[in-house]
Amino acid sequence: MLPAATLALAVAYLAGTLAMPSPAIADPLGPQIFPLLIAGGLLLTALLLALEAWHGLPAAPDTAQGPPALQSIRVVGGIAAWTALYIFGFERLGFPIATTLFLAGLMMVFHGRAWVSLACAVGFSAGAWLLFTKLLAVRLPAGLLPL
Amino acid sequence: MDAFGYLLQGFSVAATPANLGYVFLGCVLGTVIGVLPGIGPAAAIALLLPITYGVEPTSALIMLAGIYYGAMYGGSTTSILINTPGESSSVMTALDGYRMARNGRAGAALAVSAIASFVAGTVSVILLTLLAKPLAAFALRFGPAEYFTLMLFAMTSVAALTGPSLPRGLLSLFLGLMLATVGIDLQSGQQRFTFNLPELQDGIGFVVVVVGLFALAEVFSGLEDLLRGRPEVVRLSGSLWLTRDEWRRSVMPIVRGTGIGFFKGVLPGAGATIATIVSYSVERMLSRERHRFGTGMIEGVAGPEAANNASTGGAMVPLLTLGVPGSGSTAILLAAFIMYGLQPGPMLFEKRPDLVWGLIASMYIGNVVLLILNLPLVGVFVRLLRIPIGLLLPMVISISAIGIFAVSGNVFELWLALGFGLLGYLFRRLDVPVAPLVLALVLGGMVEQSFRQAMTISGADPTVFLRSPICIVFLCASALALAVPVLWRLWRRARPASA
Repeated sequence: MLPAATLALAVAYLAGTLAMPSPAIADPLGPQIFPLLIAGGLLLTALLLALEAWHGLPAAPDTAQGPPALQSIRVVGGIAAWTALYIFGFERLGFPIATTLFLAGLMMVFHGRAWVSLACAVGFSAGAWLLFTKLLAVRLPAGLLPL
Repeated sequence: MDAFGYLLQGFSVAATPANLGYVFLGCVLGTVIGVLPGIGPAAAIALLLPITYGVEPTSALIMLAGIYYGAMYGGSTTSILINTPGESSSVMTALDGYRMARNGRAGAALAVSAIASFVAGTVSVILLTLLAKPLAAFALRFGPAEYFTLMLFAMTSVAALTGPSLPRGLLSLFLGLMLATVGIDLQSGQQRFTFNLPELQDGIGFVVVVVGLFALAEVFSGLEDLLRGRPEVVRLSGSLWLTRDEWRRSVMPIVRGTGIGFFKGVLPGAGATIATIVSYSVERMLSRERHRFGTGMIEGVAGPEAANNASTGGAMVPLLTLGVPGSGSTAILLAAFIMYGLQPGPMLFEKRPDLVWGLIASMYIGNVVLLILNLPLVGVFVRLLRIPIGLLLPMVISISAIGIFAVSGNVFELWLALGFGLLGYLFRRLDVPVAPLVLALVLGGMVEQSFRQAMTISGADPTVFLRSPICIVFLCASALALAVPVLWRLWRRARPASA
């Protein structure tokens, strides 16, 4: 799987490099030479990964967990989808509302206690808003709230 | 002026009330980050950059460096008390540190870890002080070809020596270089891989990549692990000091660990993790009770902890003197320098000695601060381990969103960060190291620039990279770095057969 994905990436990157127009004014090597070297390196890496898959990994590393199982895909996919909704609402709803909803949902699932989760979500959103926008002058979207 | 004179000048910068405050803040943040899961030192530095825009660069860099070496101190606490190393460089500490805690010597394990870290951290800064000026003077001889081969050496070493296999390290490296080519090519004005998106014209920001790969990926893994149950925190028991016998047994491992750690830290790629493994192996080999390693031997904590912290001082040597980082974390520090319009390397010693020597002097002060934070005050930080993960990790996502939005002001980069978070999670699962990608992303632009400059100067003659002895040394070292894992594999395969 990994060698095939690397090969596909290398081919796509190579195609993108070759399709790049060559500007009239540039250094003698042009903007394509370095990406071409990278594409070559990626192709070689795909080959080495295929050889490694053929022979098996040298020593089973303690940290390696292998490809994600169905349960993991469900959990991480769910968190990623919830985060995607958060990003979608970040400007539309504004930081305070989007963050409160996002945190409350995630905390209720992973911490449990509904009231504690809700209080933490509201407290964090309000505290972060005040700290970053008022004290540190970081610009965050207010969205629906007239702040 | 000699090194001592420059250092005194540095102390006059670092010891101002404001900079002392930044040292303290950096060390506290580093310790907290080291203890808590979620935001590692790399992501923390990346996230704090936008907030420190208005701060004077010397003060900001003093604080960011404090976070970097402070996290190394804090990382050992989780290894010892919950057998969960926050960083790969704390894995060896967990082997005997956690057993010591289980045997009722948690206080002694934390104490020896703090003392070893302090001794090693301070000695490594002394060595950095002595080596900085001569190395920086030597680096003034470097032209584009020398810089290209040096950066090639740094990248190949990191790709070859981090992670379990060379091809996976190379995959990470080339992905980082690929990402570095996104945006407008500065030498020709040509757009590359921007897909006509205006947000990509300036390239992919390293803050987005680092926060995604480190912080978000850690949150995904942490929340997934949470469903399998939470590790138990061992109570902080026993005196927070060593017995006479424990002192006697710890001294030489600390000395040896410091030497190993500094040497490995200076070399790109090897870094803290390998230094701790070597130190642990050396202590086990030299011990008369080697069969007891893994059951709570204090030597197994003292040596690796010294090696871990000495390597952080060692890693600052190539970063400050040559302007080339040798690890993922120092690559982010380099990016921080660049963000403040500074280029570390020999010229910085000439142009901004106040900054360089102020930063080095602040590391002496930081080590004292960290000793205080990690010995008498360790109980305060241990309490952080009791914060519910289910509340903490979701907040990390929101903090990441704030940090990224503060830099760009648009949600496009939040989408990118989510993508890199998922990529980082996959990398973990497939055991692809992240450090080569980060290093290649930060160095990519400079690598390409020096390559094209060298080739332009030579009239596109590639033998330009073989004309200077410095280039040849770096090319040979790169080849050696690539060969070492392969030779190691062959040797390990041959060993059982010959036994």
